[in-house]
Amino acid sequence: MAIRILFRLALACLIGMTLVLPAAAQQVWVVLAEEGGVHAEAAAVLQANLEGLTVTTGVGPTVLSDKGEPPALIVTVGAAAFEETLNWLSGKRGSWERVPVLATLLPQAAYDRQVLRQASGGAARRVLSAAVLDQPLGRQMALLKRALPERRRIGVLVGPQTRPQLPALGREAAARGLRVAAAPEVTLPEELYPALKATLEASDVLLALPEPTVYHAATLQNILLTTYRARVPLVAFSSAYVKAGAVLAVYSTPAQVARRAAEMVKSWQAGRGLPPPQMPREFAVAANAKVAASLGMMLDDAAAIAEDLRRQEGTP
Amino acid sequence: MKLPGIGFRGRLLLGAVLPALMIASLLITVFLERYQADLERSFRDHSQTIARQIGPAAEYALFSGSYETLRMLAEGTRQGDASIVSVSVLDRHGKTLAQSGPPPQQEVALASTLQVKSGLLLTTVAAPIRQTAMPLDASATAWDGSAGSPMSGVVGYVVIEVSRADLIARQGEIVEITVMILLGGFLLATWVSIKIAAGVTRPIARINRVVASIGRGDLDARVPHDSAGVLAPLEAGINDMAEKIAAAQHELQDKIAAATSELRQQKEAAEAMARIDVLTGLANRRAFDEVAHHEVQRALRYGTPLALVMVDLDFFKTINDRFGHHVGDQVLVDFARILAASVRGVDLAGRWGGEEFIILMPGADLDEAVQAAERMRLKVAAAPTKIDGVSCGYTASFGVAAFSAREPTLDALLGKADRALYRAKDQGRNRVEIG
Repeated sequence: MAIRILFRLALACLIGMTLVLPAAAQQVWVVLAEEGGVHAEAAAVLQANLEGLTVTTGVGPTVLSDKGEPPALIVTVGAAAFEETLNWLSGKRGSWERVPVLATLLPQAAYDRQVLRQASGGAARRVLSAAVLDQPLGRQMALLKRALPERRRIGVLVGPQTRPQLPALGREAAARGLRVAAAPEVTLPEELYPALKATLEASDVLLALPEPTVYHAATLQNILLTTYRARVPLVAFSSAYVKAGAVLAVYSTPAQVARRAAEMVKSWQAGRGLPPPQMPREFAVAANAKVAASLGMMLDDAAAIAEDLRRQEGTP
Repeated sequence: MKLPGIGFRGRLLLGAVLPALMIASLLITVFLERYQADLERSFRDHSQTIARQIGPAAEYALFSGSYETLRMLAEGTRQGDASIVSVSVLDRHGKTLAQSGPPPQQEVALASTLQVKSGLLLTTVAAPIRQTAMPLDASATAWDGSAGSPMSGVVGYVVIEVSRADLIARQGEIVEITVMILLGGFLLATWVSIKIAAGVTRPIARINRVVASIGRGDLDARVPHDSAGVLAPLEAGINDMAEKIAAAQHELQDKIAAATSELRQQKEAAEAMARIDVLTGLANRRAFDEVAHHEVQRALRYGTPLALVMVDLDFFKTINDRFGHHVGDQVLVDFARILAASVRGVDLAGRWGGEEFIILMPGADLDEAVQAAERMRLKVAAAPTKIDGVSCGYTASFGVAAFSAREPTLDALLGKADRALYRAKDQGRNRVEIG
């Protein structure tokens, strides 16, 4: 009789296991746009921080294949991979339509643009989210307050992507006793210099918001030259800009963004669904002491500044 | 190759100079072309470099819209190089923002790559001005999320116009120098080749002259064998040939002379064998002798008279000397004719020697013979002979003798007549004497 019970228990366990096991080995695709570089670094960190999932990583066409079952989740690294993946998915029907996509390591602006395209496409709403590169406005204001306390008048150049942030920026500035002194909009190349000149005249510091029409490799040199001449420091959103001549930047490394993305995946894995787009929790501060000195500024050590900011935010 | 009108010397000259000239011309043409192309290329490179250099310098001024800076840049560039005619900076729509010098005369397209247009006098270069892209590290690429922003790319253009006058002058200079060198080289080559050719043409000319002389019959002509040149074997050969020809000629002449003299001897012998004196047609001495002997025998046997007349022309040598031999011969013929006409049928007239004649008169006594001789003498003396339009009078001396039984030999008779003839000559010629 005991043998009978034991047998039934064993059977139940077996059945139970078959129910549980498939759920434990969910397919996750990680899609990159190109080999190597920061994207591969991020993908590696992401993969290292995931467990209990079958992760397939690769460059676009090698991973995106409709020859089998669709994965449970697709994670893209970089704006190009995100766009490529969405384009590839747009033709697929059936269970493919329900695959959520988590975009990582891309600007908020790029994410927003793709979301808009998806919505206007008329297809069924797909679950999308992102782990973006952008830093919270509050953190940027905190940086200005902490590192350049005398410089209270903030100038920004906005464009179509960043204009929506102006109201929030104004609030965050005011909360710290700072003021947005100038915020002209630039849409055409010819408008850049006049806007820049006017902004620099009215400001103590130029805060770079990630606006693609304004800030990129081709314009940076001219912008820096103009800020030097006006003796106004540029606070940027990328450590590369600081190397090029910006005075300060608060930014997150690919690894830091990847860890944020991993957190989001874990949340989804736990059944809580994909959280809304997240800005990075971890960050670093870069400073260019030489440029600061040539502008006649005293600047604290970048690590110390970062420490203070983290303490303010309550994150270790 | 047939080239009428070009002599040996000319041909030699052409052969030496023409190939050299052709090779030189070919080489020069090729190198000239290369050099001109090089000059052109370096000119273009220079123009392009100037245009490219202005770009970065103009970039910030373009960005910040400071047209004064652009104008100063344009001005400075133009004045920095004398061959630059105009410098213009344009915005990305092609509108002129700054200009130094006159506006560009040549149209050139504004494109995203450098454009060059070369006319005759000007080269125009349009170079795009791009914003210098800063080398940002990889972390910045994550932010290049959006598709190519309008800021990258061309922000303006620089158009420069450069004068080609200098280039053209240099190219012309090279052509000039080349032509001069070619000409000078040609003259030098001609002079050298004439000198070299002379070593051949002069000996050849000498040989030609000698060969011509030999051809005309001067077998002693020889080529002066002094040159140790390339034609020495030919000269020696010509001389050898001339020697052999001369020797052969002499041998031939000797043979001919020998044959001729032999022939003459044979002829004389033949004549001697004959009975007639060829010239006059009278009996010759041999014939006369035979007949005379015979008549003498008859006269002796039968006791019939027999007379003999010996005749000698007077001053015959003088006639020969003055008028020539052929006149002398005609005189003899004429005299012989008179003789033959004057004697009877039974008489025998003969030629005894050069200008000596003899008449045998069988059956005639002394008186008859003397009369006959006198008749003949008169006839001869009376009629001067016209020979070849030359009037040639002559006389003869006669010696008559009769056969005598006391001296019954022909020799005796001949001797009497001969002595009589001698007397006639001695007594003044043109007479008849009796012996």
